[in-house]
Amino acid sequence: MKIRISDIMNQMECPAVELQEQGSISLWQVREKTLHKIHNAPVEGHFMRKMSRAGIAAAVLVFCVSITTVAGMIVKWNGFAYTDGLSRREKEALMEEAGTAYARVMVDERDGSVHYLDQDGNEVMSLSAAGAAVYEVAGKAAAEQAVVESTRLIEVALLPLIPWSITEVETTEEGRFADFILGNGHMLLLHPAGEDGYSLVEGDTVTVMLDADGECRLQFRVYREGRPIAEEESRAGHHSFQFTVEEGGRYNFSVMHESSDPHIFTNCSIAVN
Amino acid sequence: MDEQKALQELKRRNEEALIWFIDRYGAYVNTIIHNIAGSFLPITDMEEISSDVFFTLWMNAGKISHGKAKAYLGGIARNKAKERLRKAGMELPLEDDLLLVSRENPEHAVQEQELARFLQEAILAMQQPEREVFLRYYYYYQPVSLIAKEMDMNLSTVKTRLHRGRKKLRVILWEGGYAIED
Repeated sequence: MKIRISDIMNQMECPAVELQEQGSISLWQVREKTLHKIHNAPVEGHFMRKMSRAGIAAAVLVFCVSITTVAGMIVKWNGFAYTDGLSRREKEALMEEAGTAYARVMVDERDGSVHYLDQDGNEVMSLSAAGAAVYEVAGKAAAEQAVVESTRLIEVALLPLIPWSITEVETTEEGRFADFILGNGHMLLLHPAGEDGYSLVEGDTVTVMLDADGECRLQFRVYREGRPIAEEESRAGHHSFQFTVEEGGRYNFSVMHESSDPHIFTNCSIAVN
Repeated sequence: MDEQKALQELKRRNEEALIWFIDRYGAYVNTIIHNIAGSFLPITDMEEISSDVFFTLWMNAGKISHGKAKAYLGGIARNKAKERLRKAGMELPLEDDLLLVSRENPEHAVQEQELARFLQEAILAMQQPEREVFLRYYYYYQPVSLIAKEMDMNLSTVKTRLHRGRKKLRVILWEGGYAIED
């Protein structure tokens, strides 16, 4: 029998060896892709084991079900909300909803069937394992397509990862924009009121600043004529992102939230010097 | 956060802990993947493999003991990179990797698991730096030139150590009732 030493070692637990770094795989991409997988993985519900067979709906393939309708039934919090004018109590209630609302997907370990619950724990849809696999692919594709079509200011399809949502936010003549809550994986896209983007020339310096209610990770991205050209991550409470224009044109700037918990952002501004 | 705390937080599904592991061991995982698949796959595919490795860490955090995360990640990275190449119909050729193994008693079949046990025994019986050279070449797929550079040896010394390691393996397999041909 022919064997390879290297293949036999597949089954071994080998000690770690200090290796010098090789290659140019991007850690940032690895991080993004891993978090994306985690956020799209179905969640197992322990209480499912207690459900009787009679209590589980028959598995049905639901191609004709409107995915956005179902998504709306499952998730009320849509990742972004303005907080200007809200009282402290209203903000707290909104933060609580943002922190607890998520798509509840439970898998019955006995037969692999997948059950989608609303926030009150009521089942809104159930699918067989095979049906759920199709639904997830179709649902994800439809949701992503909806995000791609949600703005014409930038070419969303060029982004390495499509965010959960994009909200176009107008900035005033003074460069201010309203306070807001932003959830994980949701994005803000800045543009001046009444215009598609900022008309900038070589040498202009743009500074975007905002304060969070706690330390969090944000990703700032720059777009020229709708195409992404630069990005930067920031982990802080007070965020300040600066970009110097090398080539004139129409620019937009986005802010995407990367921490797991939602945060409130205040003192938001964009300045061009 | 130290590794013990990060592992505890990972088991509690804290994403910041996962980020900690990616920041700490991402370069290590990426290097292993690059050594195996760097000549065959585009960077985006290798990034995908790397994220699969950390996703596996996330899903199996409960099974990992303190101090074992790096070795765990290294093993998963290696196997996932090899698997991806195999699915694409490719293989990273290694010199002196093949052995022709048979049982002295033909009634007993060659068992892969048993062979793995003998191989592990052979590796444990090796002295350093022979053991490390063997692991770098056969487990981490490092080219001989890179092993020589990182271990501050000349090429012929690395080759000699590999040769001795294979010889030790043959002896242990022979003692276990296997006949070996190159």
